[in-house]
Amino acid sequence: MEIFNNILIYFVIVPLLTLGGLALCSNRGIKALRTVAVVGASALMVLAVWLVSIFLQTRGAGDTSEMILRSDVLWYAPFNVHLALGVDGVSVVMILLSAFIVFAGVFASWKMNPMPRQFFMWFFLLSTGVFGFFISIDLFTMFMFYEVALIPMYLLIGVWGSGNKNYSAMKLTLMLMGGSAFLMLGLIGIYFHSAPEGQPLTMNILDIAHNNAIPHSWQYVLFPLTFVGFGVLGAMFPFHTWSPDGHASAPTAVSMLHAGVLMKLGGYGCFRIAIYLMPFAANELAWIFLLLTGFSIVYGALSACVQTDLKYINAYSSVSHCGMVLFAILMFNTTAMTGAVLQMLSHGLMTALFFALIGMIYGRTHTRDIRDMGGMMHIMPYLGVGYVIAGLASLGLPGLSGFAAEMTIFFGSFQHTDLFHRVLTIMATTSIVVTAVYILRVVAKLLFGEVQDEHHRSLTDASWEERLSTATLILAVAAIGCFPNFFINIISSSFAPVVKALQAALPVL
Amino acid sequence: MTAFYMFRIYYLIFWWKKHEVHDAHHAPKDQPWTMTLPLIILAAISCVAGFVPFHDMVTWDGKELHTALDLKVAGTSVLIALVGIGLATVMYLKENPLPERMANSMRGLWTASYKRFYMDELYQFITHKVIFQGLCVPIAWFDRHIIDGFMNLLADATNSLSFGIRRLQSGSIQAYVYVYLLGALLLAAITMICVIF
Repeated sequence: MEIFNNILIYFVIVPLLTLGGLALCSNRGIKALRTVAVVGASALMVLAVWLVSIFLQTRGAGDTSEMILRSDVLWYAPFNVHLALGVDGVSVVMILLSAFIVFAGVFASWKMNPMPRQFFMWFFLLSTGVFGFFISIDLFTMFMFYEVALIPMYLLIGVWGSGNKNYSAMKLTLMLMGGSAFLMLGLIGIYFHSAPEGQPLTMNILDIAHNNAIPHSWQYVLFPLTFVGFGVLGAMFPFHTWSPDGHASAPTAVSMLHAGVLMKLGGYGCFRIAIYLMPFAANELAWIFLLLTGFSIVYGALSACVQTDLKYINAYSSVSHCGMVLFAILMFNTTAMTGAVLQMLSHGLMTALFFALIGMIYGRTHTRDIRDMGGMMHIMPYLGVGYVIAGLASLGLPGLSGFAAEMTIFFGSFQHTDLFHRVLTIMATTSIVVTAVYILRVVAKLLFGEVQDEHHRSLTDASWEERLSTATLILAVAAIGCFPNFFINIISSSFAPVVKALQAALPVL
Repeated sequence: MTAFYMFRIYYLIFWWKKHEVHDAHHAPKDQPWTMTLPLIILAAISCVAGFVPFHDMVTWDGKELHTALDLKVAGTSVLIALVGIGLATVMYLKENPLPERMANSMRGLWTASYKRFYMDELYQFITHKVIFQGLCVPIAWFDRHIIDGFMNLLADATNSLSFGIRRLQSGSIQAYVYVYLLGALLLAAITMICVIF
């Protein structure tokens, strides 16, 4: 089959093969399980790096088409469903991000117990969904992979979670399913207006965008449905409450993958489907969602200031940072959108790092309450330094990823000259200060100060697989911070079609 | 003022009161050369820094700034500085009750300046009381109870609704027939009423 010549399909095949390999192992052979999982994750990493180099070569050779590496296989003729593959700069970096996080996630769940085989199987099924979502450009296939990524979360949290895990798993799944119900309605609506009268309907995103046939009256209905549908996953206020509970109960690797990649699915979907396909309604209704996301940014940051559970702090901080992603996407200019994608990368890696470290600390102290901990810098210096680095990336220290992303976003959003956008931007910028408050509060309480519990003195520092897991992420965070241009070059060309569509939809300017 | 407070510090540290040395181990010692050397270098440079012709180097319009020594200005400055030093000498050279008495006579001003005019307290108040207690805590409460509470309410409402209509599917044939008959009667009654009127 011709589709197997396309590198993209292997992003789905490799996790599925890993899944099959894991199914053949047994729970007692933990070494075999680890080997299979590491081989699978490394293969994905190699593929992702290879994909980046292919992408750079293709673009370097002067190929300016919107999506490269396109393949198309007809799946189900009555609805014109295709397995349509294709990537642009944004999907390429998202795939790279996912590969990094899956890799780090495997090492972070090295000692997973009980039932490591089932855990890794669900974990790789989740990754299949994530990668499948990023490589497809067909509405149906995207939605299918989106669901594949959501459902395993229920079992991963419900079975391997901690604390109030049944409640959290149920809440997370139901809220996200509620979001995807909106989304499905939206997608069906888009499908039925995907082509002008008399032409066959299509699910292909590029075709729909070029046809631009969705009537304006319908865009008013479909845009909110899709945007909110993806916005739930992007933790947009007021649909974010699954995030604190879900993250707090999820096992480490699942939190990492969920905050690191899955929440990016929301931002990516808003950008790729909601805004790109319905530019008219996007322009008209942007103000509502700008208010909501602008509010999310400040609200999440302020809520994080008074939490005492490490994972809650990080979950609310994710609400704030993911709000920034959607906020920047809604600014509709290339600079802000570039910033949004950088922020997705930055937040993905940094939050994954945070959750990895929190998981490791929790695995030792068996508490996540910052009031019960202190002086960890002496006890576990490696994890402590890692935490400080993650914190500094989060509060936007130059040289780490957060700074590059947030600067780009605020530069982009301040390009709007009207009062509304400016005021919102200024409001959003205040969150940087608040971020510094809650990060430094935790660092001061957790890492320095008095040791709260004498038993903590006997705890050990990170083991080699934990060091590998966190070092991968720290390197990536620093790489984005030091060489943002490399990533900006990859992504920035992808925004031209979207911005063009938005400008075409604008009333006379 | 600068001359006054610098000399106050100098006198207080080196002259004011002779400390009894109890323990040779804790006795103040002269610092090692790693600290002395930088101090000497910095002191030497400070002594000659005034003669560096900065006015030739730093300009705002690219031209040299013409400077001259105005004896009136310079003289007054030196005089004021000397007065400051003299005042500090009188107040702080030897241990004496004069500073204490002056502080007592201007207690309010003294306390305010001792507390750095309450700037830190003001910041502390704004961050802790206004932002933390007044903003963050209510927001966190709002999030847990109103927003999340609404989601829980939805879930609970769905739950109790299903619980309520659960009886409709009891599996008891008699109940089904009973409801069916009642419904048929009701329909018949409505039809009759419609026909009559």
